Amino acid sequence: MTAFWRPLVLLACLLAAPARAEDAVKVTVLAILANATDDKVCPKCGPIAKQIQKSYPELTGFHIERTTVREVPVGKAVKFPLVESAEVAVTIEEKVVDGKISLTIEPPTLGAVTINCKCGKTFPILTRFTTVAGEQLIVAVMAEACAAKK
Amino acid sequence: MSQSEPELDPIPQEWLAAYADGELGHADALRVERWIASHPEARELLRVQEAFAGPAFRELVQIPVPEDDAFDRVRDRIAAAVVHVRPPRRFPWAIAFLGLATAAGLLIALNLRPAVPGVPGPRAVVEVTPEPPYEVASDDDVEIVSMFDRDAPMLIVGRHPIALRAPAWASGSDVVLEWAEPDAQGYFSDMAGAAGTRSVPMVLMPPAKGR
Repeated sequence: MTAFWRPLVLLACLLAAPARAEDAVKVTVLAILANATDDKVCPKCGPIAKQIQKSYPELTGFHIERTTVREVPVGKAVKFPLVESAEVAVTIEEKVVDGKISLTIEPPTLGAVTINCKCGKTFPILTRFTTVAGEQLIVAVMAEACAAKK
Repeated sequence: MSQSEPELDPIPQEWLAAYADGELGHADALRVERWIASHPEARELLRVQEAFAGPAFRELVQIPVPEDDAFDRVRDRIAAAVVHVRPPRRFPWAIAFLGLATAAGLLIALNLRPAVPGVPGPRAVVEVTPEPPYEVASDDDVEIVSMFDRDAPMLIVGRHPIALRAPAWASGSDVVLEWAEPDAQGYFSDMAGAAGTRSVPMVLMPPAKGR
């Protein structure tokens, strides 16, 4: 690299680094396991359990198996581990429009779901994945980029 | 020194001082004397050594020997001059520690005491602030843009895209077909709900074989 290009490349790197950081969205993924054998509901998943029981009253026990938080760059699919071999891919399609983040979720056993979800709110979805112990997997995704609200 | 006399071995430097002090044995003293006789330039050095060894020098450099009780007297003077700082009392700490230990023991004893039927025993209440639960999105917080229809029953919040806005099917009067190209085989697509039939949705169908 010539001496002429070196400062330009350095400047480009300096300008590009903050831009990448700004484009990333903090995404939290919860792997919640539900069962019909007990009625223990973990305190943190109480509202989710309540919502699920509206459609699936036979599910009575809920607990968070795994929580993963990652920075997801816009336009790039990032996989989050769930339980056993299951994982979910999350892609941020568009950062924040009207306080909502557009993201595509690919949970195990389900097709891709594209949603516009309010910042900081958890979007749960039931999957057909069941663990060896017979518990049903619920994937809950929360994206936060509220500082960059337009 | 004459040329015919044999060369004498040099004597060690400290021998000269020892000779001056009269500390050498007879044989060594003779050797020193022979060496000085053959080295007249060393006589001045011997004279200086003898001067240092003399009684006048001893008087000059006499080091006073302290008396036997001198050390005790100096120690007493130092002790008198030092301001004694009283070490902090450990007693209050011991009292506090004993108090805490007693209180802890009482608490443990009260909690381990077998409960008397009908009388609720005292229990230490530990208040744990629960972590706030995750806030679930409501149907209004989520807009489902795209999903497979077979997964619609798995939705917990949000509405299936089709439920957000009921599809308004175009009828024959809503569409003017200006141009249609045949497919590779030269067939044209068939249309249900042709122009003029308002109530029937217009559906573009794949070409029927053999037409």
